[in-house]
Amino acid sequence: MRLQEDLADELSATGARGVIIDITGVEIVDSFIGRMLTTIGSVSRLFDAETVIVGMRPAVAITLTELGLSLNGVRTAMNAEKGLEILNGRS
Amino acid sequence: MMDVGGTKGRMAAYLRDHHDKVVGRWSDLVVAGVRGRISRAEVRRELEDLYSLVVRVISDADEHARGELRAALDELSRARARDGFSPRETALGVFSLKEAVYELVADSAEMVPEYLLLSRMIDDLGLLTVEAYSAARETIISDQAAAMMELSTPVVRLWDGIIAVPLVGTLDSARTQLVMEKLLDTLVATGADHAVIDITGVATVDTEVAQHLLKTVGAARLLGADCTISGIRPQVAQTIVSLGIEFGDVATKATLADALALALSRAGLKVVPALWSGCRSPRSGKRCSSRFRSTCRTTASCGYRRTWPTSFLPPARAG
Amino acid sequence: MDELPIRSGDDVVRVRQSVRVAAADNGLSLVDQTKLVTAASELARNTLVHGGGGVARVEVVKSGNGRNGVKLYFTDEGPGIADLDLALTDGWSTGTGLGLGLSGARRLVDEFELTSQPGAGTSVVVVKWSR
Repeated sequence: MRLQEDLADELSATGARGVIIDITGVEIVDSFIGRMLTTIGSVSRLFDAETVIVGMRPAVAITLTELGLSLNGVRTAMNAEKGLEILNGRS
Repeated sequence: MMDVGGTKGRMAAYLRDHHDKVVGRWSDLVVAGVRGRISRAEVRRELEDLYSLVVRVISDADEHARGELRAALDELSRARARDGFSPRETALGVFSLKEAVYELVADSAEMVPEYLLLSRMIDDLGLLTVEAYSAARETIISDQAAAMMELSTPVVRLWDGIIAVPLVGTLDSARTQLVMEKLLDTLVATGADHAVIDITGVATVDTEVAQHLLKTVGAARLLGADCTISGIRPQVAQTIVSLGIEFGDVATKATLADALALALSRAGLKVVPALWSGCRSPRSGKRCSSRFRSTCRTTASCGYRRTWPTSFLPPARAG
Repeated sequence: MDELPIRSGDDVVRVRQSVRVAAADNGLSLVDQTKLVTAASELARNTLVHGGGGVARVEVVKSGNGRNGVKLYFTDEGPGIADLDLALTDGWSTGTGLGLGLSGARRLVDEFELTSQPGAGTSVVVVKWSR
């Protein structure tokens, strides 16, 4: 997927240690999107970067929980600010 | 072989011809039944509408009449259900039309087939009334159940960034959905990082309830919040272990207080005693030099006296 | 009843949009809308990926006590599923994605019916009611 490729390029080029994925605007997360997110987490880890997904909507969180989809390998936070705190090791 | 078409036509004609008498008598019977809860004028109005629909249906005047009659009776029954009438009272309102007609035709043997036809039709309508009534009551009951569930699922703020959900009663899948929605909405609204789910009031904790709790914790975590489950009673703890339920990395505590302390420490907060300013010398008016109540050494040798109620004062000493 | 072809990823998106509109128009809560659309997305993707393409239908239904509901049909003429029980209990929660996601989708809806035979295609019918 384009997003994953662009991300890999970016991580390789910048040596960034963290990735924040803001899904505030995402209304639906099905298993396809879920897989994409966990794959991004795995790719980032290969570059020694941690991934935090922020801004998940309550309806989406409830649906994911019911679906039984666990986002392994990525952390989650309420918003980008808190996501940064996690990445900076303050949490 | 009954000539249904002709019979119907004759009944319809009879009803039209004796309109005022029948509706009048019908109203009397219904008014007697409702015992003043509905005004005579209101009853007459309702029955006039129904009567004209009944006549239209019997005379097969148009194809819409049947549907309209059903709808009118449905609405009437629901209204009666909402207003607290019994199902019998509601159905009798319909059945008394039979009685009103019977009183008029009883003497003449000619209208027997016609009356039979009407009777069958009204029996059917009476049953319809009962069905509509039941449906209306069920709606009221489920609305009330929903309202009760909503009220008994508060989400409270314990401290900055720490919210609590005290659960009382059962935790079935319907309740769990409500808890998840309210908890997550509150997390977003307050930006809280910590949630305490207190189950002191949950009578039974079995595998299903544990799964619901873990689901709720999982959903909250997706919003970046940390969860603690509190209110684990001794018997509940034994049940959980014997059922082999694993709470994994979800912290559990006996009391809400313990959970609050844990949440506070995770939030990087600490509770410390306030500075002690109770001891004051009666002579110099100076305050005790110790900063905390725990280190205040008000003893016989200490020249200061605590400003407590008299009963707590040490026995008076010289000088 | 709306009938939508499922022949591409874009079609899956169109199915989601159509389901979203139907759910919102018929009084489903936001969470229930999200669940139904997510289930539709799963099932449409299955039809596309495992069924070789197919058709989705969206229907509005009424329950015995007057509530509105949305009924979805997903049909394909694909290879079919040999072991239905296995398909409904595949290990979903790891998210490694080899499964069909049917057990997950089932948890998101109120009624779920799966019909399939090897060589005879697959049909999934689901209903979600308003509360």
